[in-house]
Amino acid sequence: MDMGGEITMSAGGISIPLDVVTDILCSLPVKSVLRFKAVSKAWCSLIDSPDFARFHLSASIETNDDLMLIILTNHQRTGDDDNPGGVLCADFYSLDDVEVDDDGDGGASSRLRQVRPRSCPFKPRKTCTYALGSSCNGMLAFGSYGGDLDFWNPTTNQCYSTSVLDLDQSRYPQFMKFQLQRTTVFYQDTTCSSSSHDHQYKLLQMQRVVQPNGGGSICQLRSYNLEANGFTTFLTLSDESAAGQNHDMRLALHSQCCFVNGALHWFVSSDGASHEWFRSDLGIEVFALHLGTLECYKLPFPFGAKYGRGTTLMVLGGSLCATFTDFENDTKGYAVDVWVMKEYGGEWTKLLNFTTKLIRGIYHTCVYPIAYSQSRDKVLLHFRHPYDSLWWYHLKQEKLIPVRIPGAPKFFQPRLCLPSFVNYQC
Amino acid sequence: MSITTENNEKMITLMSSDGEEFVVEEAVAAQSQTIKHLIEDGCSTEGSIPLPNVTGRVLSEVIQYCKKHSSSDDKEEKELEAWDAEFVKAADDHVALTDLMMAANFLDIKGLLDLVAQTLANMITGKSPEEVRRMWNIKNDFTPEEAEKVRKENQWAFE
Repeated sequence: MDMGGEITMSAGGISIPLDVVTDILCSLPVKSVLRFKAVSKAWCSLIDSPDFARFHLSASIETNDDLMLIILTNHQRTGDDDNPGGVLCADFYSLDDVEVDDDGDGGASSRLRQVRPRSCPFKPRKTCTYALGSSCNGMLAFGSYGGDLDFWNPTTNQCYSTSVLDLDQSRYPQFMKFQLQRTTVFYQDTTCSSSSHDHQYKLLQMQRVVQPNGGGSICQLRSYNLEANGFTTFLTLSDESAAGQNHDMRLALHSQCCFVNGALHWFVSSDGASHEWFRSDLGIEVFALHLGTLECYKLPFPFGAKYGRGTTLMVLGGSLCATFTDFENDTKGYAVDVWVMKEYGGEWTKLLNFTTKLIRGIYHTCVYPIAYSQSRDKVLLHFRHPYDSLWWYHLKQEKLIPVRIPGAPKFFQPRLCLPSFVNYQC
Repeated sequence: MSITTENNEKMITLMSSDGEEFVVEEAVAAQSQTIKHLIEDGCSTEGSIPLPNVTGRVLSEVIQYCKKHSSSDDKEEKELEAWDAEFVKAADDHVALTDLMMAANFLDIKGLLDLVAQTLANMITGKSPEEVRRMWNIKNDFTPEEAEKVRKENQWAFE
């Protein structure tokens, strides 16, 4: 079809050329765009084109006013094989209105509207999974230690599924469970250059393989390569070399690492030598590895914050975010502190703090911040225990507000996703 | 022909498709990348710059926009936003906005293009495909079977 041509025009009135249509459609939320595929064949193929997907995505990243909340059924935790891939998609910003609750306890709740159940187009994985629905610019990634990979766009329901031969697995199958530590990050670096090749989605793994028969261990940094349908290793370090300059990779395997500003980040102990990563009396820093240049540098640790087993590093609203849950000091509940580094490389500020003691029925939970509300007066938090639940933390009122999601199971993983038309292979 | 005012501003003449002439400061006209390139290539020295794709009515609106946006600095961002809102409101309907958008596209004025695209997007976001077709005289070239398929694949978007 001739994409550049003018649309056939009937007598009178005004017609509109397709390149102008592109500009209008890029300013629309995905729901409207999908509906307008029914306008004409020319509009339909315009919307289906990879170029349009890229234009629309970069416009969405800029405005960030259309966000999807995805509720993934945590198959691993429920063990329910008959209900493998239940997914709920909802308009995240519809969560924003807090209603007075009608159950009479004077509390308030947010209710998610427009919840759509979706079936996952890929088959459930029986082997252990990692990167369960890691989200990046319109795409979710799923991986299993068996070598299966799925890249899924929940907006278009398009899925790219593949199976990669995992060398480490074939070499050391019996050691898989205990001898391999791995952390995975799914990201797209749109800052590094303008060539579209560099804008590909990347599934990056940092892993430490303990070799059998006293062969020591090696650390590897590798990423999935679509053309080769396999992992390409671009950094390998033995225990000895890892204990030197890049010792810190080992520590990354114990905690989550996150991608922001072109670099991976994780916590390290500043003395470098110790494996006692959870000892709070050690000096802690944030270690950064730039994925373009492989340059390493360090960022400060939130001053006065207490590092422990419950400390996680994530990205909240585009900034580094550290969450401290004080497991050591259990008085029927934990103290939770959330810090953010608003300006990259700048000072940390404490965003919020509360104790889980104050919440009925919830004493011991891990807390993960997910996102700011549209007006940034609230932060959505994910509590892991006793069941998965979502809460708004109101920053001014310093209050927690439960969020109800009709149809959500007891165990789930919440993910935020930018609605987009991108296809993993393009 | 280029005229110079007492402020030493270089003036150029733009000619619309229907022969109307507009004398504007070069700095105002150069907000259009298309015109800027024409000036740089020396096309303005021999007289007025012809703009065969833009009518006089639309061109006067475009010039209004360019004048406002070349005289304002960043401090007045809020005021400029309000002015933009009024400006597109005055364009009234989707026909005038489409004309304006096509002119902004041809003249390559990014700010105006984004502004009008957003306005038209807001106008159609809740509309049905039928309503959009009627707005721009677009022929529905789907067979009933094809139409049904597109609808089925994107069912939630129609709810």
